[in-house]
Amino acid sequence: MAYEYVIHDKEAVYDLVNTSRADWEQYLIVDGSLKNHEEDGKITGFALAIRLCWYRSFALTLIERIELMIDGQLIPREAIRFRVEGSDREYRLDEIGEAQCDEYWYLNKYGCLTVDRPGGLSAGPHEVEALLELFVTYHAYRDASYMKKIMRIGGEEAEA
Amino acid sequence: MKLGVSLYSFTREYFHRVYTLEDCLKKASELGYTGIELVSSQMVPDYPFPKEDFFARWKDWMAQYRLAPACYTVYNEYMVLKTRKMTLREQADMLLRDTRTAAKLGMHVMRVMNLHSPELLELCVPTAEDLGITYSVEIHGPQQLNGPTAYAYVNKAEQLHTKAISVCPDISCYHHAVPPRMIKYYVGKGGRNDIAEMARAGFAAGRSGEEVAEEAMRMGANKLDLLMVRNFFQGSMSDWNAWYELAPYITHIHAKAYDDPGPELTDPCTDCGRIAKILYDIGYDGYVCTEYEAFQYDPWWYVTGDELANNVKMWRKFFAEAEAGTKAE
Repeated sequence: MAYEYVIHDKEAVYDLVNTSRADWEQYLIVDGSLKNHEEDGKITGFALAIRLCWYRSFALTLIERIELMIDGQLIPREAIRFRVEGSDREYRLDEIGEAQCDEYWYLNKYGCLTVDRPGGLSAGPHEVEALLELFVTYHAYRDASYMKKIMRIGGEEAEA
Repeated sequence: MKLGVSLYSFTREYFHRVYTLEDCLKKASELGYTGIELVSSQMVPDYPFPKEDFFARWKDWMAQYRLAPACYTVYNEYMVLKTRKMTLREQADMLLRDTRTAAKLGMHVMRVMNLHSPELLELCVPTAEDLGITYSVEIHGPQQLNGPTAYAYVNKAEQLHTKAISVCPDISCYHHAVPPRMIKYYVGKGGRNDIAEMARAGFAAGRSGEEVAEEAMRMGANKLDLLMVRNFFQGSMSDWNAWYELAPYITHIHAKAYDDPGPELTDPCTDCGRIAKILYDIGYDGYVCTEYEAFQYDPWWYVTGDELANNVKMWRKFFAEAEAGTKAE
């Protein structure tokens, strides 16, 4: 079944976020975390850090959705890699499966996203949007957080 | 009766890396709590497989800060395999893994939730008995404390003749009002004032959550308004006799709080004094563990300082009054 994006549909995001319990969407995108990403001396993309908007840590397998938009443009899911801060294991979102069931994204750690984009991003400002959806087992429903921020590469930013 | 705190109360500080786990313990000790409830997948490093040196550090911290392990909280993450629900056996193995961790942390009570079914607990009872642990099933509003959930577990404990299955009342089962902080939070977020007021009054008058949600719909509530109404009804007003009925099975108390009891030491939604008196009356000798929810509904600042100091003062006062009252009788 083809993956269905939500983040570009404002009404769907509103419905998703407002049927959830997550209360901390204002912390979803980490200030100052937008940076260009270099591999072998070449800028191959950009990096962004996000936070859990729940009160505890989650197995990676309980991440239902991480979606990004930059300047109104949807980032294809396959261009996003995810790593827990401090870990050396990085995954494309579709690579996360049963084998990761004991691997946790800890409450006090950043979720480090690397996005493929040859040449990276200009200095900015950029409009960055993120959507994070988790499966919260004990509520047995999905829980989503959304945030939009105006960010500069490596810069200070204000909330959008 | 002993006063403890769930480290959940320090979630915001931990999330923002203002406190480490050790800082949370130190703060808890400074505030005057003596027992610690630790939420496994929140603050245990390398959960679900903490390393050996963590257990040694934990033991040292307990001694250094004059604290006792009171409760280990775990969740039944039955969808952790992503593509299918775990079998009952797999869920039991996950709980047994956490049970061994709890024992190594010196815990004798594990708080579990109703996603840990009585049948699942039954599979784990022999190990829990060997390790001297009881699974204390949290009964939380909007359930009634002596509703069918509590009795499903009490019946299982009786059937198995075991003390390894027990009950943890969360005092949200005795809410007489919607927490003021929660109202302020949702209205600040954009919830409609008139709907908030209708729901607040409805809860206080004992109306059902469904009925109030329907009225909100008639008033033209949007998704956020309905979320607000649903959350207002997280508490319930249980029969006070439930404490006496369940007394032999109560091994842990979750003293949920949302608001500052202030210098007058009064919680705006729960009659904590009455609860303390009942606990003395039934001879409860476990921990009353504060679970402070303020951070969820006051997202922009830290809340664990003075407000928890007042929480400690409040419970100490009520414990003392209960003890004095009991002796006088």
